[in-house]
Amino acid sequence: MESMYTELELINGLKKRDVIVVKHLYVTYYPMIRDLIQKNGGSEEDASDVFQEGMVVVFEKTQDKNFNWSSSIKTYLYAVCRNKWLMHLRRQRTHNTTYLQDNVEVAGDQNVQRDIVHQEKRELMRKHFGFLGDDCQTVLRMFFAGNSMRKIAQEMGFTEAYAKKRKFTCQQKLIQAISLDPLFNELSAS
Amino acid sequence: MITEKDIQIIESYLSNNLSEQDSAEVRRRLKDDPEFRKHLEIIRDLPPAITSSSDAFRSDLKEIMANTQLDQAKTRILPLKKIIMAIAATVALFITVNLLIQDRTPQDLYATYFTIPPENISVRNSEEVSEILTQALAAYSAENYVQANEYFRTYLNATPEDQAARFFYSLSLMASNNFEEAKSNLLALKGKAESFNTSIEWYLSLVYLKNGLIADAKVGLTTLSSTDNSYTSKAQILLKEIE
Repeated sequence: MESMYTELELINGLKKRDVIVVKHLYVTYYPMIRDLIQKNGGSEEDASDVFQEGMVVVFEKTQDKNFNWSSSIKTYLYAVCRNKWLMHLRRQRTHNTTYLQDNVEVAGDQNVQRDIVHQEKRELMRKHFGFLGDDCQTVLRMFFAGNSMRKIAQEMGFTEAYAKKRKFTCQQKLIQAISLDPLFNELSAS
Repeated sequence: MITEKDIQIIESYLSNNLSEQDSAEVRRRLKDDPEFRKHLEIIRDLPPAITSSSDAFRSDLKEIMANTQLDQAKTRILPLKKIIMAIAATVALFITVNLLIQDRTPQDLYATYFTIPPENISVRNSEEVSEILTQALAAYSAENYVQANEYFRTYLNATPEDQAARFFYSLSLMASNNFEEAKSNLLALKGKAESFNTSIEWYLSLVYLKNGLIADAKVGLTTLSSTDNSYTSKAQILLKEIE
């Protein structure tokens, strides 16, 4: 199928979670990623997982107002998926892999690595956030969205002083859980 | 364990609400205290992490991947001789086409350049509405455009905001020679459906060409040919042919 989109249209469409654009990206680029993963010891399921995680990194990049796209989505997505698979192989400790079998020169690997680390840290934060109780999640979600303590108190049926206290204890619990997570420390060291 | 005081200090620092003296103290602690540094990073990154729509995006993508059939054809590597023959055939065709185009009418050009792309919509929304859209898309794919038009019309009466459906409805109308209705649907989308603006411009230009509105067709084709998009070279060639 011929491409209907310019690079800018793809970026803007992806930013808005436009289903047609996302489908187009899947149909167009998934075979390339599947090929890379399967040639380097992965299964179809691995390829699917890596592609999804790669797309999330690209999606998060489109949300960054300060990001300047110097390469195409295709190049960036390939670099992200490639790095993700390398990291996966190294973590399994069955490989001391520093290269993959492909014919592609991927530029800017350090920036891609940084983007992947940021995305994985955010995933980890969301994971620990999900372990909090409902009240904590609501209080913190409202706080992170910029709501005042008065509004949070009203919404939760608390006094303002109690809402403040609740926000602090929930935040403390969450920060502690994240900072003690070995994966967070591993990512910080990478 | 991080203290309430440290959380307050870090939040104030990140929102530039500390005095210069207190900010300097925070910077000193960031330099000397790795735990404090880690806490600042977490407090800074938590709000965008939690308010992000990444999870919703992942969910959308999983659904799309589960519902989309990929082309399973493997890539073949052609022998050089076949590649050369393919290039020669293309060049011969190009020369032939060029010789033939000299006396072509706008309608002839329309017939040459109008091709109907496959639909690529993921069907969402309520079950009942999705069923109608599914039928519209099935009829479209089967080239049963008259039937497709009826389904699209019914669907768009219930869901007028579905831009993708309206776009493919426009193409179906063109394929069934309903140019006025195609034009009004494409004009309704123009400038509003950012994801496929260039496609709308292209097909609208073709509709104008079909109706003999050369000046209107040229406006759209000039826009397409002067920016970098999927239709740039086609628009440039078509403009030359019109002129």
